[in-house]
Amino acid sequence: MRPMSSSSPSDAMEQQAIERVAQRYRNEGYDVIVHPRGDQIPSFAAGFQLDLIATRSGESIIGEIKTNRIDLSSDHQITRLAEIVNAQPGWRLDVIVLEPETAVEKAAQEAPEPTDEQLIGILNAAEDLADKGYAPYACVVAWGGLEAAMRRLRDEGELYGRTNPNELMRTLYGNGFLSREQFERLRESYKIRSQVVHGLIPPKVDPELVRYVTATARYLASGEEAAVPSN
Amino acid sequence: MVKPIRDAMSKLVYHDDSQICYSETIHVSIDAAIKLRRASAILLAAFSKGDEFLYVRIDDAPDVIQLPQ
Repeated sequence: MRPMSSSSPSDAMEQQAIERVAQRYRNEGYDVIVHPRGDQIPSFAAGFQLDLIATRSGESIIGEIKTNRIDLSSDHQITRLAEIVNAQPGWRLDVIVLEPETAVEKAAQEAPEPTDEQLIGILNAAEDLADKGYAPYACVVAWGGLEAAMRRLRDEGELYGRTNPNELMRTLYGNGFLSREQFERLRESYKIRSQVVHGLIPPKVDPELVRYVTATARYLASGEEAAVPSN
Repeated sequence: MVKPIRDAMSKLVYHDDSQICYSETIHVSIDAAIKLRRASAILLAAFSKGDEFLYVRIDDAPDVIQLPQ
């Protein structure tokens, strides 16, 4: 059950996802109406904004498409819809959850995003660690700040994209928020971050790489065309 | 995991679990992408909550049993 209009890139992606699901039903021989309106909505479901209705000889389906489990959880009408639809002879409710929920998304449900002040604190701590000779560990902390900055930009820009670091990075690069150089250097630093997180010993880490990550995070968080060190 | 669940339903749902002629068991991550066909309210409520859960559905046996490929 979603708004019927489409105005943001994420809405457009959701529409594409609904179309893909609709096509799957068509491939199985169903006639499909995407976003049914008015008389297309059966009287028992009046008042609900439905994603699609699929019909095939004597079999009718209301299909609800959710991006992930969190999206499903936030729909407080879906259980009511299930009771109503499944009680109708010949009708059933199908719910399709398109994406798995990542560990980061799960963790984010129990911990808030950092404030501006807290984000600066994370980035300062990373630089402090790098200055003191702990560049590998600084890389992990710097990436924490960078992830928060990337999530914030993704949400403010209403960009569609997953919450895991690699996909966040690709989303921002794909939407022009990161240059090719930034993307490549962040990928390099992410490799180090992952090695340290998993208890491995990375090759020698240049403290400048840590500062590159923190500078990029500050740039993304500021939303300004800030200069990012090239080396 | 299946046997204790079947045993627990003896005398409540059936006399004995030997009456079961067909059963399917799947393990799915609570965080997985998934399609819920004929999604019931109780299943959706459990899935929305995000905690691992056990869902048991008892039905009449199908006329023809199709073995997994």
